Amino acid sequence: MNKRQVKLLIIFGIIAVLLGIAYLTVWLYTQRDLLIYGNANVYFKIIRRRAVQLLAIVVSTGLITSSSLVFQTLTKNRILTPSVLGFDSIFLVTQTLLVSLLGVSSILISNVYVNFIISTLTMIVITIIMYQLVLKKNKNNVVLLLLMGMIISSLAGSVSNFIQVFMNPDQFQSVLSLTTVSLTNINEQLVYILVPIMVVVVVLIYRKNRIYDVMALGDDQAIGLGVEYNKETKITLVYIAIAVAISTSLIGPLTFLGLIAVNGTRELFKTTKHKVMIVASFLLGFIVLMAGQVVVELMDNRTSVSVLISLIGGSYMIYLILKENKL
Amino acid sequence: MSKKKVISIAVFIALVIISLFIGVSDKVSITNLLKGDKNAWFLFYESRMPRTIVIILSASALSIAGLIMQALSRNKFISPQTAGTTNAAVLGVLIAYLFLGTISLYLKFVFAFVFAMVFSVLFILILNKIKLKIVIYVPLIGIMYGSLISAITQFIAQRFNALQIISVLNLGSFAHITRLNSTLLIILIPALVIAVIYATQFNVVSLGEDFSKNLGVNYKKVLFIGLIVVAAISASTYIVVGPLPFLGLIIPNLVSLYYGDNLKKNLFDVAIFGSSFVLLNDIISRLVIYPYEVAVGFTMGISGAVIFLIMIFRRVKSHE
Repeated sequence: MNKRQVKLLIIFGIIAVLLGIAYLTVWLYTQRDLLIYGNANVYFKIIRRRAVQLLAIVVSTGLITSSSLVFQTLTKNRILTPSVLGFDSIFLVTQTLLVSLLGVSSILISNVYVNFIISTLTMIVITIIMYQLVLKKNKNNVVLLLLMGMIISSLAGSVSNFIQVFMNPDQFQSVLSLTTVSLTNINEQLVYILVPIMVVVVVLIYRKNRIYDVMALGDDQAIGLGVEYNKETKITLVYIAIAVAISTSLIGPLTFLGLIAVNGTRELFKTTKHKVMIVASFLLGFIVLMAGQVVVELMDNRTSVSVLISLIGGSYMIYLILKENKL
Repeated sequence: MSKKKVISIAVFIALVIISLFIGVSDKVSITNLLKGDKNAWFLFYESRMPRTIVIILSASALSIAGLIMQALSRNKFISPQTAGTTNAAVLGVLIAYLFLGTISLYLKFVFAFVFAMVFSVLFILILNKIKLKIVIYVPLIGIMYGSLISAITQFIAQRFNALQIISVLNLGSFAHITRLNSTLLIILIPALVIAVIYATQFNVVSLGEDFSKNLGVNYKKVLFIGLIVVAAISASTYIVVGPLPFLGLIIPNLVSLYYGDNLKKNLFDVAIFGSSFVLLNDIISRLVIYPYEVAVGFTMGISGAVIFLIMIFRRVKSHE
């Protein structure tokens, strides 16, 4: 790491901490009335709740950015995120099916914990089946995997849409609230359990940073330098599946967050070392998500973070593609 | 006429006849129609016939729109649905709804058309600026572009509590088609005529800007006309029928697999193939839970996905 990168990392860290504090205290401004009518007990509850949400954001940002980063390394492409493989739609279809088959009041829906386990398992299983089918037969052809992901996601999309048309407004609302990213309906117990899982996955990815550095050179070079390319690809894809499944069912789909974070890091840090990039993209992703959430709250919650991030991320990516003039 | 062509036309005609005589009412049968049964003729004229005509018109138009879009963007994996065109049409409908309240079908169309047009021009401009190494990434940019437009739509819809308006538009169906509410699709006829007239020039444009200038074709003009045709087709079918997934993507690819890349020669086959495909899907959707029916967008989402997967795997195999 050179001096400039260290400096940038420190600045990022400071901004991240400041935004974290802003998130913990923004209600003082948006809900001023509470200061007149509330008491210490209420304040404590609010801050505690927000601290848990902050933890959830940290967890999912870590998972989203590190999985996006290694996914881009595997595919050697800068405009991809794992969610292109259709996780969002699979998540959507699982939730829609649950609500329509079991009704709004079923334990599988009302108990966030059970719901979480079901949707996470579904996503991991589907992904692993897909990997097995495509990668084994076709010599790790990731582009093929990508196309299949696109098709499966549109398939899943049409299935969930089909079911949603038949729903009564209650069920429709219930699906909407389950699938729209909203940091306000996170289950606290879930967050505590996810922290260790997230740490394990991120550490596993981080420990392989040198292998990814080599893999980024291309498969032939990597094999020449003694990396078991095919094996590493498969293991990494399983990590990615777990990471995306967890983060999607915790805070919903955030397609563009990984893209903004990883590409922003590339542009600012001008490095290809995964060691630096994992940390930096995590910080950047956190800053973007946190700033988005604070802005949404200052706008009286009249929009959602996911939409805001799609707006920013989509524009940024198209700007980037145009600037680079090639793909 | 080749044997293949005769077979495909025969299949098409058979599907048209089946499509006309499937339905909840058993009054509409050939014998009743020949007897001159008034009820049978009424149903036939008001519901069955419009439905089948709408299917043929919109299916062939959308397939041809896909073909033109693929020629203009010089990429086999593009269709109006993977290039943000339909997303833009939704945005147009939403804007029309917000500013004008409940509005007529035609005004809706004008808004959807204008938005589809503007955003497809933008997309082609972006594509022309990028040097691509792998063609598969083009639909990826298209999807990203589309989701950017959708994000704008959602952002606006959330602020004005109009989310369900967008959701209603999300699944293609022919179930509600009658003689009255499908008149908007008359717009497809001039669009198709223009497509036929300019077919050769679209083909030339698909060779690239420099090449088409060499051959004496006004690149920008033809590109613009092509996009007008595509936008008109996608906006009008989207409003009347809803999205028909994979149609514009797989049909042109299937046809060029058999007949090569001559766009003018292929137009007719694309129309026949596309209509047969949608007719078949519509018949299936009407029969699976008879006397009810599922939306054709759902059936096509599945059958189209499967066909597309097979096509990809075949391509991979031939590369090996």
